[in-house]
Amino acid sequence: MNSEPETPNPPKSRRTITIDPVTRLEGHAKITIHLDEEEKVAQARFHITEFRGFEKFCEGRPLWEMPGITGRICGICPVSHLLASAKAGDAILAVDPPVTAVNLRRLINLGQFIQSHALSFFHLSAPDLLLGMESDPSKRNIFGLIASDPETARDGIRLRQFGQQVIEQVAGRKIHPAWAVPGGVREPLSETNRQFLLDQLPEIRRIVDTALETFKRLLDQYREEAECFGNFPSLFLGLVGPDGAWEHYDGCIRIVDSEGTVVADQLNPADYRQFIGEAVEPWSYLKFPYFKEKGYPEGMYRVGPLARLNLCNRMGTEAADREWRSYRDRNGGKPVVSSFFYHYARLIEILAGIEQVEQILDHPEITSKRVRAQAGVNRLTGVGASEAPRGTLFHDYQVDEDGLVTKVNLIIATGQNNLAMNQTVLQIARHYLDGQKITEGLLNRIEAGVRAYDPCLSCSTHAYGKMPLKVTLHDVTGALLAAKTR
Amino acid sequence: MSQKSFLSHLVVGYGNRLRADDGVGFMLAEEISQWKVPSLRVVATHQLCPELASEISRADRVIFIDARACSGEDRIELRRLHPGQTPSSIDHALSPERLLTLAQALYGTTTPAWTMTIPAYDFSWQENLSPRTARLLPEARQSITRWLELTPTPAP
Repeated sequence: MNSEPETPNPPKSRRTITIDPVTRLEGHAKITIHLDEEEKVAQARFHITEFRGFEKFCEGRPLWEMPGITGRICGICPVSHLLASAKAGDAILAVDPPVTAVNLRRLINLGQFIQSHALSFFHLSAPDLLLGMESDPSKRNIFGLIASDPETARDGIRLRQFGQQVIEQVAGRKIHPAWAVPGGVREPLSETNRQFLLDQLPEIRRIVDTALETFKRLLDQYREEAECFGNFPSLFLGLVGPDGAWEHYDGCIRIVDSEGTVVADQLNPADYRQFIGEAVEPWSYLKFPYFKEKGYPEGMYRVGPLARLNLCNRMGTEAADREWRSYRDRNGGKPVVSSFFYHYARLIEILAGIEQVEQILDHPEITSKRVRAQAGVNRLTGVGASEAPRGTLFHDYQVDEDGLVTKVNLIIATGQNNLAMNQTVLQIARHYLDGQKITEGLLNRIEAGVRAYDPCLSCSTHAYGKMPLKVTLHDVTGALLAAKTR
Repeated sequence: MSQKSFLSHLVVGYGNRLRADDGVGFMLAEEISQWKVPSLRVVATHQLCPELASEISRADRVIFIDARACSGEDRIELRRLHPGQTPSSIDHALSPERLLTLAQALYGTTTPAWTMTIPAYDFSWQENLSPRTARLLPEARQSITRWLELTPTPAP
């Protein structure tokens, strides 16, 4: 953990460098870097200034509407909210959904992992990784990638399309499907749709195998970035299966440290308040979750692909297990700590997703019509937890006897990486910024460091709104020294 | 609807169904998908995503249906589209022109494209169309029917 925790009152800075907004992220953010009198980086902050208020305006709504409402928090990962919300509803109804419903929910969650990770890797990060951090900014985008490597660009489109098709074939719509409900799901899977998805798997598998090989070949070019893009000790938190296998839908919470020591295990997600605290800071609308046992901010933890692959004992499918072992061997079998490797972890999760999609589609009861358990309100509180592509997601509802929501608390995946993202920006700035020269490459590395987490800021502040495009540099008096527009 | 053999058509209707008239493109596309026209693929979607470039590249013709904010009396517009300038970035939501550009860049295709925009007056938070926009639906259906029937039958 950083020996200089964030303080409410920043040290006197001679200059402030602002990157506003960070591009190629979902949602918008501003980054402020504070220099000291010697023009060394003293502090960095990742500001979120968007606000939406889902937790408040859901009060008074019927429980059964919550999956449909909360699914609209995000257009990239609506399925994550749909499932966590439905699971909170399962708890309030005190029912176990039928086996087929659980498998279909798993299937749609895997579809979302595939499409979201494909978007992150191919559309948002590949321009940096494949074209280079110092490449011409006007070409360091998807169209530059198309010109340089059209096959990779097409593969990215195809992979994301497949993930969307899994969601659409199972739930009827790609975006905001109102399909998972408390007790199960609305519609079963047809044999036609099942076969449609199966027929595409060989092509999709080829794409992710190629992407993994491409990325592994690139790693040598980014040793410096791997050393300073969020390369610091932290805890890692996420769901694991009963035998420690990689999980994305169910299971219990495990927390490990950077040495791989299990700090906490088999924690019931419904008891999250006992082990997760949420701090607030005056300069951000994003809350700061932390592991209570370690306090704030020492209890910083990371979630998402990097964390999930650090937590688990195995992936659970043949090819993904092979890749996972190779990935962990990079650090002698211990957890992989640098946030640069979120990209690598995402690709392995896509591979695991494809293998598990095939297993689920081959389940003998996957087209069963028994997909919903019916019940009324049997408990007045319920927590639903599942893994979103970006990390663990909690939906915590309280309802009255009529099933009307009285209180909502959401802990969003990206928010749990908030402290780590701040730490990452600080680390990158300290490594690359000499206080004299603000280069395009420097700014892009700071953004790329944040982007490694694939933050979904609209989601994590349950937010809306846009920020103006401006980069400013100020002296200690607030006078503008320089401005840069992106 | 006649049962001629059509070349492959793609109809893409898009918009937010929760914002009253903004959802008219989505709603009309859902309706058209029930017409069961041979060789017609219909996409009803919240927004235009990059993956549609793949669909466009495989179609012989494509038409986009969207709402168009209006204040006074106005008419349904049908116009030809062309790929736009190459943008500097790509979001998960695109314009029809950018989609065409993306399809051209990725797949080397220049699919003939049109856009039909329907006057929209109400963007409040609801799922119903305003009476003024709803009155234009019969004309919108006729426009799509004419667009579908303008395709020459392929030679045997």
